[in-house]
Amino acid sequence: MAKTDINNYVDNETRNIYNSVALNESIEKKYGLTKEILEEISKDKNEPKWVLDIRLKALDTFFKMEDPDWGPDISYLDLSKLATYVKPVEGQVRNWEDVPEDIRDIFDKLGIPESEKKALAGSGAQFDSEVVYHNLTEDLKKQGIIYTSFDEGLRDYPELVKKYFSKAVPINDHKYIALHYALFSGGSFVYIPKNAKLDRPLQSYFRLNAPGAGQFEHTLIIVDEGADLQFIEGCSAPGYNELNLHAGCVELFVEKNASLRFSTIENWSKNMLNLNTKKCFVGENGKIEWIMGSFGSKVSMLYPLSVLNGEGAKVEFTNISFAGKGQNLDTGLKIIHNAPRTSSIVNAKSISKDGGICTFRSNVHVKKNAPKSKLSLSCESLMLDSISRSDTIPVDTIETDDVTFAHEAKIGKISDQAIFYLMSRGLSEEEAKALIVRGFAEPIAKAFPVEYAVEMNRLIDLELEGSIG
Amino acid sequence: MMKYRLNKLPVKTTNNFKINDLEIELDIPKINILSEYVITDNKDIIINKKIVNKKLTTKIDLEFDKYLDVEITIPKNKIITDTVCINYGFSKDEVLISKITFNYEENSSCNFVISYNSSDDNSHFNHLYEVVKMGNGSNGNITILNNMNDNSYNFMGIESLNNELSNLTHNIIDLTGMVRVYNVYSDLKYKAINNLNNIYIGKNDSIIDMNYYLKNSGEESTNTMRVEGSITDKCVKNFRGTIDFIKGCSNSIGDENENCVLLSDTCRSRSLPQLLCGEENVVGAHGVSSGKVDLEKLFYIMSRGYSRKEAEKLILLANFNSILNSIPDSDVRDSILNIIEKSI
Repeated sequence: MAKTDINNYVDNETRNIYNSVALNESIEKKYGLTKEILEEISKDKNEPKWVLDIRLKALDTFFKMEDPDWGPDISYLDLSKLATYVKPVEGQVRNWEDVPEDIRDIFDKLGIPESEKKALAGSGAQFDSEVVYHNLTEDLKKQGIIYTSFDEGLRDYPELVKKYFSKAVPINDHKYIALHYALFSGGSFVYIPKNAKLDRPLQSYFRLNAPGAGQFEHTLIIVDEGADLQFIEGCSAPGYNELNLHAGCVELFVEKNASLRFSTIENWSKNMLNLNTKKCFVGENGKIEWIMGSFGSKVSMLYPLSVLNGEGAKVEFTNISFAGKGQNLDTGLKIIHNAPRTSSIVNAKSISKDGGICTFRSNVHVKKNAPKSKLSLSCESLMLDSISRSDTIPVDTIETDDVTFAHEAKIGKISDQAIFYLMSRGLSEEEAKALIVRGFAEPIAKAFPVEYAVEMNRLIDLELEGSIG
Repeated sequence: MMKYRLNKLPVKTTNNFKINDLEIELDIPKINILSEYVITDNKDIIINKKIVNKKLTTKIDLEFDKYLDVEITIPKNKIITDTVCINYGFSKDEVLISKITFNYEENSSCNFVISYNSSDDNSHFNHLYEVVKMGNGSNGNITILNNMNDNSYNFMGIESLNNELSNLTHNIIDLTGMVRVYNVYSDLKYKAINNLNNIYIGKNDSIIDMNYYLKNSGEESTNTMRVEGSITDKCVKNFRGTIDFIKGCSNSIGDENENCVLLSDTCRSRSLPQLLCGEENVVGAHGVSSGKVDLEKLFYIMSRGYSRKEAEKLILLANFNSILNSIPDSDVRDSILNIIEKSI
């Protein structure tokens, strides 16, 4: 994309685009969490019995499990008040023109159709509980690449979906993944066949429009042997006074010699509980790259897990969290080295301001059968005032002597020397601070595809407005 | 045998990470003191010893109803240059539950070495509750040497209140034992300095569990934590280090480092170097490294005619040296170095 195009893309962005609301009433809303509701959802979607069985088992598991007794307080979440299923339109379309106008307007403002035309190989858009749009270019379809909504995947490729579904993330992983499996709706299904390479990314965008509702999309991606994929996930919601819940699930399978770059910009509104679960299995010499920017939500609890199962498998994890007033972003990662010569590189940064809380929580486990593994973990936290918090809670377990492992973390404020230097070059104190914050985030922004790096920088600017810069 | 959950983290994290506490089965024996602490004569310090029939508990979370109480006071403005040694020799089926309180009065200074030894291979049980009250401007250096036998149980709960401008260094040298559980809690006031240094050597089926919580409460306070160790055989080592910057402790420093050398592929090292920060104007850092002995160093030393074992020993001793240098008395340092050499 040419530079001028990027600038246009940015110029059109303001906070208002994230706060746009579709005025049309959804055509169907379900409240509560009962066996009957799940049976209705399953019947509406015309699902096979094995899927309903999973939903019912998950419901049972959800009621048996306890809320986490660590991390941010989420005890105020009252599921009885939450719309657990919200259907915005009848059916899914392949042309943006066929999407209802008010919904299309929102995606237009978010730049989704524009991005699709310019930079994407395929694009999907979910509105509340259902996918309203999904498309993949014809040349990729001919290569055998599958990119559909999850419901379509289940209908058209049942054996493939059944083989992988809930195999990475089991339904009893934690209480809110059990809730997810009971209520899942929407999401994407991607299959990249052996040795297929995509020169442009696929993107799924998730929009939670309804107030007091939950979104439980399920994303399942299989990158077969020798194939490459870049996948971008975007999320946003307008701000309400009522609590919204996002309990999505992402299951990724990266097979032998395959690679997947999974980028996410989470820009949920600040009334959102974001209890998302992501997990990736990586085969021999495969590679998963997580690139994440967490900006929105009231509370986030998100720790993507990479299981390096094949010899020579790699994970690179790059993350930035930005917590402002009233936000508690508890993010991090989990990595299991489960084969020889596996490697992991982690670069996590966080910024907290105006009373925001950032917590980096991780668990890295090198198993006995993973000799000659290499790990390098780095976390840096920047606090912009003294009413905020920044905690780093990393757990490292090593079960083999033949490993190279280093973990370092730093917490601090903006250096006075750096501010002094920039001010001596003619910048005001506020400009100097803002420049330093952008510089702090720069290595992470660079890892995003260029359009999203620009969006991320714009989000940082929006977050800094009114505090510094 | 009873199941216990000991040495809990100050701030709980995910249960799946299995680091919130130490789950262990123990048979807690009854107090059975056969000898006494032998303390170097020093007319400048005040020592009181007595048996107390009261409940004793520490942040480790074991509870006893009787203990040997030792209270040592270093009077105001008294600078004591000779190291005061406090020794306890275990024999037979001895069970020592004790509390040692160090009262450093204002501007006083004194260095102590507390050492525990075994004269036989019986299973001994040692539970120490050490309380350090650092008066304003006081200066202390306390070395604790665990040199009991491989069948012993050692529990140490240490708490210090570091008042303004005080400077306290703890050196914990943990060399032997079946189960070794350490808990250190420090709270620092204005311009106080607290250095926690720890060497551990783990072998056989031993369990080493460390839970250190250092709090910067006052402005311009400094907490450092340096932990160096090696484990082999089926040893399990858990290290939990927390540095907590409390709101208002501006211009404070907190730095923790742990380096664990693994000498077998059957041992397990688990680390949690935690940084909690509620204050903007601080410098906090942690680092953890684990792995086998550096191969380049090993090759270099072996090329000078040393065997692999000798070379490994030299590298470990070099790692430990920076901590041993924190012991001010060179005679004490040399004797501990000799004990470590034999222990590796």
